[in-house]
Amino acid sequence: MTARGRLFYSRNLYDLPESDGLFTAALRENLRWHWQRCPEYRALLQSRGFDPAQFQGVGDIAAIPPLPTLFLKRHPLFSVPEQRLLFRAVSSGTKGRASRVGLDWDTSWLALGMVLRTFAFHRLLSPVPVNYVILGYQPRKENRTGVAQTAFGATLLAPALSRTYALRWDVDGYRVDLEGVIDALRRSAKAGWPVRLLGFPAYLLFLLEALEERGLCLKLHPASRIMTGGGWKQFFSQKADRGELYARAEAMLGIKDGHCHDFFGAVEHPILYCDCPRHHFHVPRYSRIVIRDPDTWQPLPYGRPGLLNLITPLMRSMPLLSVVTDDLAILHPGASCGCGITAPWFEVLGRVGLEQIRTCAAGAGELLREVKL
Amino acid sequence: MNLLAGEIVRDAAATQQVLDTLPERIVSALSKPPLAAETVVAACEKLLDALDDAPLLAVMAQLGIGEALGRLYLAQARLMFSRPYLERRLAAELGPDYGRPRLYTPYGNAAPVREQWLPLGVLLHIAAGNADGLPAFSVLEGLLTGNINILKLPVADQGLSVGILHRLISVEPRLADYIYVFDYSSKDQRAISKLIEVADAVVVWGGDQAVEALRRLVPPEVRLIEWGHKLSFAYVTPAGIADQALLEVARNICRTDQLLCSSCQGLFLDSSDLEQVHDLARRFLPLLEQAAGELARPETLGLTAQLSLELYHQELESAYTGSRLYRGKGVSVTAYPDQELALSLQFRNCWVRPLPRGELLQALRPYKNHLQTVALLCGAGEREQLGLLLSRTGLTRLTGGETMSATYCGAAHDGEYPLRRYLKIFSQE
Repeated sequence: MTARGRLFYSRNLYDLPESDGLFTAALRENLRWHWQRCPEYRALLQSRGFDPAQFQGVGDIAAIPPLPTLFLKRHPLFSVPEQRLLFRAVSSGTKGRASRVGLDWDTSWLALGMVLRTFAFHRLLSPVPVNYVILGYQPRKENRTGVAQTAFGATLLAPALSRTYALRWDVDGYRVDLEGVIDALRRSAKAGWPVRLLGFPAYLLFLLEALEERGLCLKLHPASRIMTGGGWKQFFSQKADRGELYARAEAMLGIKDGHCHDFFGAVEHPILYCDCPRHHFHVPRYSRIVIRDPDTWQPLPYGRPGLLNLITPLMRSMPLLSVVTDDLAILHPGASCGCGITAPWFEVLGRVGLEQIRTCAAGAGELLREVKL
Repeated sequence: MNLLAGEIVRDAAATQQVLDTLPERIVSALSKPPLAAETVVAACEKLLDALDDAPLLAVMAQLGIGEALGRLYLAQARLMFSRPYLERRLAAELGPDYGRPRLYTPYGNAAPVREQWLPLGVLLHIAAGNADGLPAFSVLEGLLTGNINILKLPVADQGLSVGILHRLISVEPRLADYIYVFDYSSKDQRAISKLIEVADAVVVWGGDQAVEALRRLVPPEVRLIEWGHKLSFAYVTPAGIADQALLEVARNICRTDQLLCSSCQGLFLDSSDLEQVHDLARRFLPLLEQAAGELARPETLGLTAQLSLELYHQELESAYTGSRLYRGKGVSVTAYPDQELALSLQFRNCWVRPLPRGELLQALRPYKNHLQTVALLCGAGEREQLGLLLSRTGLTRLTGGETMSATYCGAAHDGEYPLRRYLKIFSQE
């Protein structure tokens, strides 16, 4: 079995730094694979003066030149023929362009193991049937966003009695069906089946507000859960807001904080991060995280904010070993969390840049770029 | 935050009530004696006297505007809203007798006619996602021309415009009937349509998306006055390469952080020789560094990280585009082989591209309505011929580096006199 296989097929999940040796071996394997099969990637590494022979131990992880997600959106790179890709996903592309990512059989197989292991660790696999309420898009062939696919995937964790979508496909497009969602919640509360609510935190907030407006206080089955992912930063600035959101969820739906789970992931880095009981994202054995100083690009120590560089040997189909997102983040030592997991955890602070600046020159430039494309 | 009849209103029901009665309120304001330019000029004068720089600079710093640019804005605002400036501007744009009717007998006519500049009536200003404080500036132009002004706030306004206009009303309460600020979202099409219905003209500032959306929304009987987004650059000939002239361009880049329509995004070189393009990039880099040293900018982690990411991205991409990035301290210059007029990375990161004069018209045609200012750096003997050539593109201003983003009293904006666009000529025979 390859080092990659052993890394992804292990009973352990948060065994850092014990898994460093295996992780480095898997990364070296993956690096060699892409170096040989993706000439564009090789050229990029060479242009940065990087030689795979330099890559020896765990200390060299940061030496692999990371690819910005923005770059991958403009130049998708593949190391296997496109017809061998099994799953395809595009990022939701909230800021203009979307990334296209494809997984081959081998990668999908490893990813499945990772996903099951992660859900099992966080006790999200259950034989008890539940009613799913998805605060997002009803899946369609045409909607390949990672978000829609992940949400559907998450409805396989426990047997589904029903699936209700907040954004339902009608003949002429998606329609918000808040009433349908509220009906489904009321029926579940009455029938005594657990509910799993999935979706963006912002949508959850809208739902809770709608319930508050109607003065509807539901007592859902105690095994009910809330699973959110992505999109905190658009609507929330403080971590405290999350606590408040969960408190409102408990008041309106009867779902306790311990049954609220948040997820982090990116299509360019398809590693599943699930928060711990203290709502922190710990780094699993499948990936490593480097926070880079925006000025020097050197790795920063714990506690200092910088660019988020995500590293994993998961992908065989595309050279996504080391990607740098446009998020600012901080890495914390595992022990500082207190949940018992010793692997370091990271905190995403938000997007880079000054969002509110929309100048006249930039407006014209945006358009010109579109004209050119 | 809404500003209605001189009061700041936050309550949705009260706002709705004003929206519903807007047609009657407007008829009532129109039936009063017209608003004289003098009333507005006097109000601006009083407002400026009470203006304190420090809090305004602090607000701008929050919006990412450095102190140098902030002071430039304030100095410009102080000048532009002073009595002599406003009076001379009115005279320059509308003629020295703008306030009085003109009586004369036209050629071929037996009887005399009377002509007078009069306001269009009601202007709806839509400053979609635009520069800070600009919404208030647009309303002031509407007031100067005697119009009733309805302002739809852009999302990121953060109370700056409402603050300015509220103060203006407090020094001149008569203006309350002429200023309505609504905080509706652009997505609230029902409310926006209602505002459009009562307007004689819609004044839109913003990107092409905003302009396009309004073109669809505004019915034919309402005039659409567009102030679209523009790009500016420097055109340099081999004979025009001189450190002093280049330094002035560099100062424009640093002073404005390349955020304005008139900011220099990059340099086109009158040559097809790429080696010369690289030479110019290397020569320009230390000058840009020097200008950046003169004009410090507040560093924020978010902005530093964004620029760093974009520069790194550009370096990686050079393998595909054949470009080359020259990094300096807090600045950069990228030499490209193509002739594209592109937005720079802004914040003191510009480009240099080849554009021989023979190909200039052809290369700039696609950008015809997005061009504004060109700083021309050339030999004295070439100036007239090149000026003529550049005037045939969509450009509307030709300057040196120093004055690219400056304006002068009575200057046209994007090739037009703004005040004239808010007025009509009323003739009586």
